[in-house]
Amino acid sequence: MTHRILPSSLVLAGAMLTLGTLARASEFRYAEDQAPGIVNPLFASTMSEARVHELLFEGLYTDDKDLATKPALAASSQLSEDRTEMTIRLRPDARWHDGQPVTAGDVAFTIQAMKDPSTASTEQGRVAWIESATVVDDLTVRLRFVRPEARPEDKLFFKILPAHKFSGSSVKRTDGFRTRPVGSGPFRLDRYNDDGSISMVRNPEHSSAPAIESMTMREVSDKGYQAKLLIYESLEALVRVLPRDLATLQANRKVELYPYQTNSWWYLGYNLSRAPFDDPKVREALDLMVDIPSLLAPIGTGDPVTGPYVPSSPFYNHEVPGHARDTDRAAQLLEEAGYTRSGSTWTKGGKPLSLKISAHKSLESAQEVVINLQSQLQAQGVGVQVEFLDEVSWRSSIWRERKFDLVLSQWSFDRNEDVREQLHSQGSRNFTGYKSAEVDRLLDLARDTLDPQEKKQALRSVHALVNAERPMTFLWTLDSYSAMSTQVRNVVVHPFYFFTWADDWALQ
Amino acid sequence: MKRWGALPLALLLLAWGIGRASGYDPVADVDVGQLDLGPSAGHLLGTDPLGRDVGMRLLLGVSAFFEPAVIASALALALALPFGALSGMSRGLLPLLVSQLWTALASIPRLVLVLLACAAYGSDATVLGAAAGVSSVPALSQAIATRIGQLRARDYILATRAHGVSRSRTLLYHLLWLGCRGLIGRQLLETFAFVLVLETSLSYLGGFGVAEPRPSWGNMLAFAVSRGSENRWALLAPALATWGLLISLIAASSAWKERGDG
Amino acid sequence: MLAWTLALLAACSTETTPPPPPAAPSPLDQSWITTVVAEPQAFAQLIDAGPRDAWVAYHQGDWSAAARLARDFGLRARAEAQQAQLYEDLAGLEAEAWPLLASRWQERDPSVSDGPLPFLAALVLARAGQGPSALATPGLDPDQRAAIEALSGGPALSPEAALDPRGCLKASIAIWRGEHSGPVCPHRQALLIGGEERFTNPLAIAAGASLAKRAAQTSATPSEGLAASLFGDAWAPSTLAGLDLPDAGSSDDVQAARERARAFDAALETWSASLQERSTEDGRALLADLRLVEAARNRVLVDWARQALAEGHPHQAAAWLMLAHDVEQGRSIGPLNPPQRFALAARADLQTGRARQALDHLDALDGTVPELPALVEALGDLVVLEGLGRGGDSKEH
Repeated sequence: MTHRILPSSLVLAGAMLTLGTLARASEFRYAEDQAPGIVNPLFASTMSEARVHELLFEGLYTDDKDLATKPALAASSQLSEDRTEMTIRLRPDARWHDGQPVTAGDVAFTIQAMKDPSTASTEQGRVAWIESATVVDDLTVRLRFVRPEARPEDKLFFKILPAHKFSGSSVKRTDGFRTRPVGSGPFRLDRYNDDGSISMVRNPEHSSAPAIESMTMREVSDKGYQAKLLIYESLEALVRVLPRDLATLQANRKVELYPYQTNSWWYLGYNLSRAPFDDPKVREALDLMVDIPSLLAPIGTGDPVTGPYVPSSPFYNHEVPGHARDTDRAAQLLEEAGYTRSGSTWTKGGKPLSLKISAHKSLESAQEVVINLQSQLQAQGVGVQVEFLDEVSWRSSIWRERKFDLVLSQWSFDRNEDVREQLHSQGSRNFTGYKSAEVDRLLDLARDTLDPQEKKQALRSVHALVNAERPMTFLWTLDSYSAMSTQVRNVVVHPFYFFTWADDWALQ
Repeated sequence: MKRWGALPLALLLLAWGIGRASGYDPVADVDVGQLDLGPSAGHLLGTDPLGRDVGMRLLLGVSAFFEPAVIASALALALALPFGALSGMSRGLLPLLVSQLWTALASIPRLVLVLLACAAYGSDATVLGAAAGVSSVPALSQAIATRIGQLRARDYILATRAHGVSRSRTLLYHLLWLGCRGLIGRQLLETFAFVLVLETSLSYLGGFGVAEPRPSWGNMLAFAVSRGSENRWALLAPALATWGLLISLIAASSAWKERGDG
Repeated sequence: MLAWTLALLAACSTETTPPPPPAAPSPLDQSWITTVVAEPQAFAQLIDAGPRDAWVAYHQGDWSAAARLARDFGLRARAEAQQAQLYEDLAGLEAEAWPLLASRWQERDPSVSDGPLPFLAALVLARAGQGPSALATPGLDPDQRAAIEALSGGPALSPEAALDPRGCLKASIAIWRGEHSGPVCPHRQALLIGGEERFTNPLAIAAGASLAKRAAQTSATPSEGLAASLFGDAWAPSTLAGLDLPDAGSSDDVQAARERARAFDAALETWSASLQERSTEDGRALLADLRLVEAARNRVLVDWARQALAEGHPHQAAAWLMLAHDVEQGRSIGPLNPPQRFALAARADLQTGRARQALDHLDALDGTVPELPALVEALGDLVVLEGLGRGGDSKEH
């Protein structure tokens, strides 16, 4: 969705007027590039959704401010001696936003629904380790694990849904819940507005008693305006600040910056199930044609990456050589793959080498990168079409049907930097269709080992292998910051979910 | 003044021709070594946030609305002339039906009609032009019919009939050419202005208009604004060009009207 | 930037500038910044007299380059003192990371106690002044006990003591005790202990700190006048105390910390405006181009953060360090981003459970301290350990 009108100044004035008039004394308004299409944690795929879910829903456990696991909906738990079962007692005072108590049935329902293939939850991977969930009594649920678990509570952060709001054992994206969600979090949804913004109000029943009365998530798709809206006090927070706005915002005494590093990296993913991207030589050739520093130059400063981790990660393999453009080698590889250069294009069997690059409309700076990339590849004789997909098309073409040649996107990871879903052959986010028995083995090892050094080495090997086989061209990581008005007090930002401790925040 | 009415169109034709003939490739023009430069001999209007030449993109951007505008005008003429003439010349069920049809079509806002067409058939130049053309038909057709209705009873028309001039010559030459050419010219200028605003707005908003990297004045403006271009001409040039052309088209059309020539 | 400004000043220095109007009294006036702005020629002469590149490096926060380029000039002692401070800040992190790694690992997998990790953690405790708790570590052999004692002020380690075959630990202990002048070992390489190469040297930073401290103490005589303070701490603690800033409180309250910083900013803003009014054009150019006030402000916040860490207030330290970060420069060392800022930010993050973020800060220090990789690997192990069995969450954008 886009909210720009001509002339541009009218947009700003209008937006400020609208937002300004809607502001209430204790209203916290924050901007997202794109509003979530639906609100249902079982189908979360973007950071903006994860942030809204953090306000509206709760998991059994969560992070305390020192990032140690603490109970949220759980009150106590007991792990069986063989560590394959855990009995969790729920907090008796926990209530859904509609007043119903949170029960063991809700926990069991959520886990079953996430595991149910007909739900097609994007979060399925987060419960794959749970074999079953059984209701013992209203407030007690027993989880049985696939294999022994040392600290299962560390993995019970996924959000719980109210079973009484669904019929059957699976959940559908299209269920009415998507616009009328009921959670148990510190805020409840007041309105899902027509313009995609979401109004939330304090949940007075919540044990944490949030100080902020209401929260509003506004879609401001043009990031250029977000900083201005914050400066003119028409917003209280920007989740991610554009690099070019950093200096202005830092110099503003009414604004404070907070580091919000989500271990994110950009990549170009090849569809390995489509010719000619199934040919490693073609992938390598395309990879060698790309001039990464030139792609990065127009959008800011960042660190190039050579694999699926950011350079400060313990899993990053610093021995993998950096990416270097080599068009001669690229041409040689294409010839080896059966292509011949006729005029300005590469052809094979009379068919020119051409591809389509798909990117999400709301991915900031994606337009610059894609146009630049198109220019680079075209200069090397590769025909390129570009498409910018909206949320609905992105979900269907990329996540579900995997109908694409090349995809430009960005992954953000919590502090565990678990790339299993992206690179394991069974991974639910493995859009490229990458399959490597060795990488699977190493990822399994990394998941199961109790030795951190073994895990570190295994994942450094994954980095090297993935770099060599190139299901993706790894691009860069950008530092990111959020900005908030100094009116917001006691702010501590969760490094991934952002709002985990928002119940402590207050407006001056 | 009447002759000046064609000037904006002539300039547009020239700009369109230069843009097409230059062989400028907007894809190949990306140059990260020359981001956001101010005007210079190499780049008369400087470069945009991807190092592309603003002047060349401005020229090539003409085709983004010129081509749909030509299609729209041709289609509007092709449909409005016969139906307008029919309604103006004769009375009966058919003209009434046609008139009702146009009234129904005219009740749909033009922008909505175009957006519907783009949503259904894509937003390339042909669809955009065709939709804009069809949306212009009711007004043009109605205007022609009314004009012909007024002229039919005039003495000199009756005189041509009395002199034995054929009905078709009276219609084509005396009524349509001599009587309606000003009106048609004015309507065509307005169609051009409509397509300019339409295409520029859609391209600015993104989604239905011309998509990057192909230039359009609308997407040039959007790109420069959203990226905070440091070259002010990246922003001013498409904005001024759109504004200037729009004013010229409207002024030319008004001048035509003031002369009372249709 | 500095080079450019100096060139500008050189061109201007022959011109006579009108005398500045009388200064409005402010405790903040007692600073080298006031001197520089009031007497830009004195500044230009000082830079011209000494190695200009060394001053540029010092302004940029590149202490080792400044010390190297300064040769026998008095600036060398100052650069070495800064480098020693950086080491000290990193050594604090090292002292916290290793015991945490050992205890967390033992919680997860008690069998790790059979390996060298408890001994390595005990070494770190011993050199951090906790000799008795270090000696209480179970399973130490006599040589290992002797090593701990050597670090706790006991007798020197016997040359025959078997700690690690490559002798890195012995060398580090000798350096720590002032008996050896280094260098130690390749720091990217893990120690060979018990036939395995698993852990890096837990004394690497401490040994480096010891060498840096000695270098600073034995260097040239400290300079005097402007040369002794230029680009250094702008205000004495007593001057800052005179500003009557709100107290940050006795608890780890981030809001109180931010209020204190904002009050300081307000005071600086007023003073800076009056300073600009009073200064000559050259003085104003220096203020703006070298960002003297902002850089001095950040150094004050970094000092507050160091103090907060010492008092056990890591959240406050993190808040001040974020405010002292020139985000536009990201993870680059610079006049507004002194290296100590990153070292302390890493410590604050580790203390607040953000070991992963601590690694981000250390990333900025790559190349400033050769021993850093040893610490980064250990901290990396801690991060991995905390994520064991956790799975993880990932989202688009």
